[in-house]
Amino acid sequence: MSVSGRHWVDGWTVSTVVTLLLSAQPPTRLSAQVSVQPSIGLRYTSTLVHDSIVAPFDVRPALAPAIALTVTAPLEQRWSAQASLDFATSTLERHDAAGATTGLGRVSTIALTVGVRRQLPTGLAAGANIGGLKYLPAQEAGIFRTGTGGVLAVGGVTLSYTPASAIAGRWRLGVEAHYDVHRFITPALRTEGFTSGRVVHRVALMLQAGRKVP
Amino acid sequence: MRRPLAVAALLAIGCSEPTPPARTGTYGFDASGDVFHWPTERLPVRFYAQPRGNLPRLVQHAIDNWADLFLYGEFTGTLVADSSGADVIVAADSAPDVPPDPGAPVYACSGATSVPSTDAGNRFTEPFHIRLAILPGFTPAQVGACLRRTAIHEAGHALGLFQHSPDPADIMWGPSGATPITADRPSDQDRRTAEVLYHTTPTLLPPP
Repeated sequence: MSVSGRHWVDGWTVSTVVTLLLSAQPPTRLSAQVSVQPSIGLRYTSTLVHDSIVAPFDVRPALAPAIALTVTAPLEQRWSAQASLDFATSTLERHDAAGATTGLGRVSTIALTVGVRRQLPTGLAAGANIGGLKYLPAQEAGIFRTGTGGVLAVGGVTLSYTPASAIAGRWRLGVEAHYDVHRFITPALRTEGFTSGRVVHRVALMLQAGRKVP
Repeated sequence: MRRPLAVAALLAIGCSEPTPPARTGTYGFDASGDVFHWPTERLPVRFYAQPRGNLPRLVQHAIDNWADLFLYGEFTGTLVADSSGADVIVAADSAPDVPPDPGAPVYACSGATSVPSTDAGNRFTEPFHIRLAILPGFTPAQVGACLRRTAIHEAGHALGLFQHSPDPADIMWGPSGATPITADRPSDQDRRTAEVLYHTTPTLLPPP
């Protein structure tokens, strides 16, 4: 039996990554000036699993503290390339139709993405990124009882705002809204009878500080 | 040309939301219309195993087998050292501490679960009691294998599966002298039945 996560990475992921990279059309010349942006914030994640046993219910993570580290290298004009490592952790919850909520243990996610970013007027910047996301459950139980299914493809967009006056020493402060999407399924869910992954949307609001690295 | 491709790729992942699987193929679990399962606020269910031979390990094995079935945290259990606070008390004549016989299952043991009486508020008045007994004429390994399967079966009753399955492939099969329990673990039908039970509104309440 094939492992679902590997299937995603081998098939859909590769083609999507190539497609998105081609469509981004970033300029190709790299500059030596690199900046780093640590950020911290909160992330909302939509339903991971919608199931119905007697009555419908949803499983999704609670609002999660998130931290990220982004490295940005300027390209030509207003473009820059960036890579980001993102971590979030919270409690997985089952929400029954009657309103009851049951904790299902801690689950964390780590994502590594690469993308491009374009500077916009008045301190705004927009970016797009793609990469891989891995679920890290605290216990191999429940929907993760036979593993997580490997690395899932993720793609997203960001919109950040850095006011010209928000400077603390060598750091430039700002806020960033981050949206990404991936498909979620685990081997245990496949065993249960789910035949495809559910589209999961994640939205994060982050406070960001950035500084140039000489 | 490239931009439409990117849009198409993004749209592709937004389509075809998965449909919850149909959980057809279950057997009855109620007792004359009454339904019981351990409520979330009472988890983990506390099992006490008489410290005799291999019994504590058999009970832990049974707890793990049932807990591992559930995807959404419906049931968890734990072994406790003190019977006074237990929800389920398991006793046995003896439980040979030998590797279970890998051969064909034989009717080398028996088990019974006493479902407690209820008070006027439909609440059980005392813990569930499971009793395992060995039958004469079998090797310790055959008894060990039988007790392993029977402990899971009886724990299933204590979970709220009050009926037997008509299918010999299920762990909740109602054993007879001709056909003992042959399943080593809960089957898919056992899993589906337990899932439906744990999402059905109970009419009986756990003991205080």
